[in-house]
Amino acid sequence: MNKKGIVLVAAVILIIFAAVVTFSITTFIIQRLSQEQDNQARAKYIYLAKAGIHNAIYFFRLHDIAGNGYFSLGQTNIDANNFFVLSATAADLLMLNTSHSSVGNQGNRDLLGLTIQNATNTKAITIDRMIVTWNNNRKLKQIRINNSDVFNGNLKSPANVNITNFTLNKLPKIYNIEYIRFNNDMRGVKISVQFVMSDGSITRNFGVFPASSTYSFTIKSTSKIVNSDIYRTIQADYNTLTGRITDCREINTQITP
Amino acid sequence: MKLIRRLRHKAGFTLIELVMTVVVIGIIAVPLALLINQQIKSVFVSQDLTVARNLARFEMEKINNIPYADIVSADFSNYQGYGYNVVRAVSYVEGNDTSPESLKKITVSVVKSDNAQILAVLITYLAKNVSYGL
Repeated sequence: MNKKGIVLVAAVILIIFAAVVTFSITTFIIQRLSQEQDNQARAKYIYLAKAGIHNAIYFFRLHDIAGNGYFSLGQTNIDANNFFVLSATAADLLMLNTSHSSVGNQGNRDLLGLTIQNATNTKAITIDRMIVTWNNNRKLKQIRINNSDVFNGNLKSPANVNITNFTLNKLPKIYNIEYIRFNNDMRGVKISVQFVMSDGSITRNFGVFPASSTYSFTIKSTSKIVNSDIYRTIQADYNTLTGRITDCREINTQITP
Repeated sequence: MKLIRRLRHKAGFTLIELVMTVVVIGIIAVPLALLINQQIKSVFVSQDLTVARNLARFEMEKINNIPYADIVSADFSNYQGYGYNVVRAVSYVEGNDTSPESLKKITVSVVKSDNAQILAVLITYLAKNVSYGL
């Protein structure tokens, strides 16, 4: 009787052992194939995100032929399963053309020739402050944008200027910064400007004088596949004067429509 | 004599015991064999997917470095000698050949030479005359 019992126990143990081995191998196979599929998807997403960047650049350039370039933010479906979402902060969208800047007027006290524009037709952007930096002891007296004085005062460098909020609306338009006026001759002085936007975003520090070939926007593109949690986001800087993507990098932020 | 008697009384395996043993071993061995077979297959599938993905990326990088006008649909058999076929499908999303600005959709698909199943697909857009660098 004992012997038969042992045989039964042995059989049960064997079956349990086989079940454990079967379960382990099955799990291993499933996980490996699942990981492989994830790798496939990740490779795919980076090119989908790049599609978003090129889509934005195409529309900017297309509209630029007719006047002011701009693109739309939001979701674009490539096909039934794949899509990208474009987004940008106000600072990303504020374009400053520094290619025609000069010093003149009023005994060379004025920085002239700067223009700004909003790169999208999807949302208006507002400049809250300007940080103006220059490398001598002159003082900043006045800033005039789109025929309105947005600042009058007497500030040393670096000047954190609380200007009258200036909104670039979503109807594409180029706005003139008529002048940034100082209290004395500014020839040969390096001047740079940073904009603080009402959404809290801050532009990079633009070297506005001497003139340079800068007229850029920044765009973020997140790619996704329907019913998947995986995403990849690319951020790119595009210089409209040179037609080149000057910087393109992956960031760890998901943009949602 | 005692030993001989004991051996005579020692019963061998009965037919039922043998059949049961074979059945139990069968229950264990058959699924295990199937799993091992599946595991071996999955190694090859995984390898195919990896190679296909790398070839698709290779083709995409190649596309990024050829003139925009030369980016057209094409089929490549035995791509780079790896035994996989690469299909590059190009269509205009916006504009056309003569437009000052246009946007192309590029789809790169990879299949194994002896199997029609698509192993990797990469999709992107390229705008005309956009390059990278300062």
